[in-house]
Amino acid sequence: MKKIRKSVLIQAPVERVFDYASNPENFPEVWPSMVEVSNIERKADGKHSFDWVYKMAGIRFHGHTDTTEVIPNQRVVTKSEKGIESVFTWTYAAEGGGTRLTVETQYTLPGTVLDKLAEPFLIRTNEREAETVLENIKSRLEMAAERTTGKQAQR
Amino acid sequence: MAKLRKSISIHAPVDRVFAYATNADNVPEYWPSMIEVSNKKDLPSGGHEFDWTYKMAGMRFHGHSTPIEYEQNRRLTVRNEKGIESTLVWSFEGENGGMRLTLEVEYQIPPTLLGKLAQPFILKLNERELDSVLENIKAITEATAPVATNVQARTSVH
Repeated sequence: MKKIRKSVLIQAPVERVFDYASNPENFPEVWPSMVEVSNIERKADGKHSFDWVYKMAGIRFHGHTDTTEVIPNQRVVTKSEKGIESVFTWTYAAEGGGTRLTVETQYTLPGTVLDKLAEPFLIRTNEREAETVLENIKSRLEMAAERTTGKQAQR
Repeated sequence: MAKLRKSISIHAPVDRVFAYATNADNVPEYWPSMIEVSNKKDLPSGGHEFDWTYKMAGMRFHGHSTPIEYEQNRRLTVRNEKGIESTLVWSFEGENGGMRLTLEVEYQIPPTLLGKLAQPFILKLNERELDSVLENIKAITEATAPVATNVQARTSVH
């Protein structure tokens, strides 16, 4: 299993970051290689499941994700099967008036991509992808806030 | 039109980087949001035209790419129509025993996206995407013998 841990400070309230980043509908918007999310099912306890199509090194993989743990505005753990096996832990913590969002993932590189490209390249690509996802979430929430503030200022 | 210009130093021969980066078959491998390339047709003037499906900020767009300037191992200018109108200029220059790859993009943000998301967010997203594209091309083309073997193996996979 490969491991990645990345973190970003977002100038937005924890509730807002949690609402956005824990909603699978938003993944294709900020996650470059997440081609598609479908069949989202939300349960009463806050857990959800969904199907996904993900592209790694040009190869498309189909999989399914289930939430295994959810503490609102604090922590979400998901487990993915088929296509690319992985466990994601998303942590949300208040920090300096904003939110520290941390993602930790453990994943297995599929044999089909290892046949195609060298492992160090794939590991680096996935690390960069995780950094990009966090930076995109930050931009999405902070820039939307700026726009809202701008509109309010015009009134 | 929005404009982006990114550049990267690559420790690999110019012809190797040119052959890899300008082959449409490789685009989904190094371009994270490029979902699919299809209907590739080689052109007698060099390069090829092709159809593509691209995801920008979660929305899918279909388009067609045509080379309008092709200078082997030096420069490729590509015009994209439909989905996302854009012009891409790829420049390849020898530098310090390796090469410098520069990509300039002029593009129109699709109005459907502007109605949904803030423009600064979309611009930032695309800027990060371009960084990833160049970093991926660098990593793949700098890789040495073991990967060259894998590239040969890839032929049999497809």
